Amino acid sequence: MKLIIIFLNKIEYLDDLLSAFLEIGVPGATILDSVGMGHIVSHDIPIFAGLRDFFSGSSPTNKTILMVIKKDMITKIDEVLKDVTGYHKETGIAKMISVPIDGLFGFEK
Amino acid sequence: MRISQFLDKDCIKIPLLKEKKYEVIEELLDLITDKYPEIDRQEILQNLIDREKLESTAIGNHVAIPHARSNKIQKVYFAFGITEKSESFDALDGKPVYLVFLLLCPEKKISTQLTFLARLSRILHDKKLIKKLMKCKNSQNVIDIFTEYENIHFS
Repeated sequence: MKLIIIFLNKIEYLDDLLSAFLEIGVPGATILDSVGMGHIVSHDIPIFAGLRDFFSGSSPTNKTILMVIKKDMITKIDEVLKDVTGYHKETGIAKMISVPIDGLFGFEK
Repeated sequence: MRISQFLDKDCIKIPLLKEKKYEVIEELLDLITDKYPEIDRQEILQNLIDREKLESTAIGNHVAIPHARSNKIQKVYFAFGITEKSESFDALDGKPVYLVFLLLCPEKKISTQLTFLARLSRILHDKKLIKKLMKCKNSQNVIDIFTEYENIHFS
C-alpha cells in the first residue's frame, strides 16, 4: 500500500480530478486546505514583504490530497493527474509524491 | 551564512546623525556608496523607499532592516548604524528604532536575501543581544558581538 500526497496549486482542477479518481476506482481521499510557505512568509511576516513579487505566482491557497491506495494504482493516478491538469507540461500546477506505508489502522478490510 | 562576515568597519556608524526614517536610510546608504562609488545611489535609494512604502521594515525591539534589490549590483552590501534619537520607523510594536541594518542584494539573488533576512531577524529577537548592541561605542564592538554570538549559536 502507498500513501499518495498531491499538492494541487491550481484548485480549479479539484472537482474534475476527484471525479476522475472515482472513475478509476480510488475509494476515497482526504482533501486539506493548505497554503504554501512562500505565500505565508511574504504576506504574514512583514520583513519578507519585499519578496511578494517573487512569490506572486503562488496561489493564496492550495489543496493537499491524501490517498491510501494499492501500489499498482500509482501509474493510473499519475495518468489521471496528467490528463486533468497537465502538470507534467508546466510547473506550478501540481506535485505528487508516493510514500510506502508500513502499517494501516482503522481502515476497512 | 554569517552576518558577521558581511560587517565592514567602514560601513558601520555610531551614532547616526539623522533622526528621520528616510534620512537615516540615506545616511547608511552613503556609507556604502562612499566606499563603493560605482553603485547607482539614486536607483538604490528609490528601491529602498519603494520597499519601505510596501510595509515597514522595522521589526520591533528597536530594530529596523531596510533592504532593497537591484540588478545593477553584483554582491551583497551591508551597513549598520545606531541612532540616539529616532522616529518610530512605523515599527510593528510602535517602539523607537535605534539599531538600523541596511541590506542591498543583487536582483537575482532572492535566496541570499531570504537567508540573510531570516538569519538577521531571528538573531535580533534576542533581547540580550539587542541590549549589548545598543551599548556599542564603535564599529569593532559591533563586529566582535556578532562574531561571538554566531560562534556560540551557529558553530
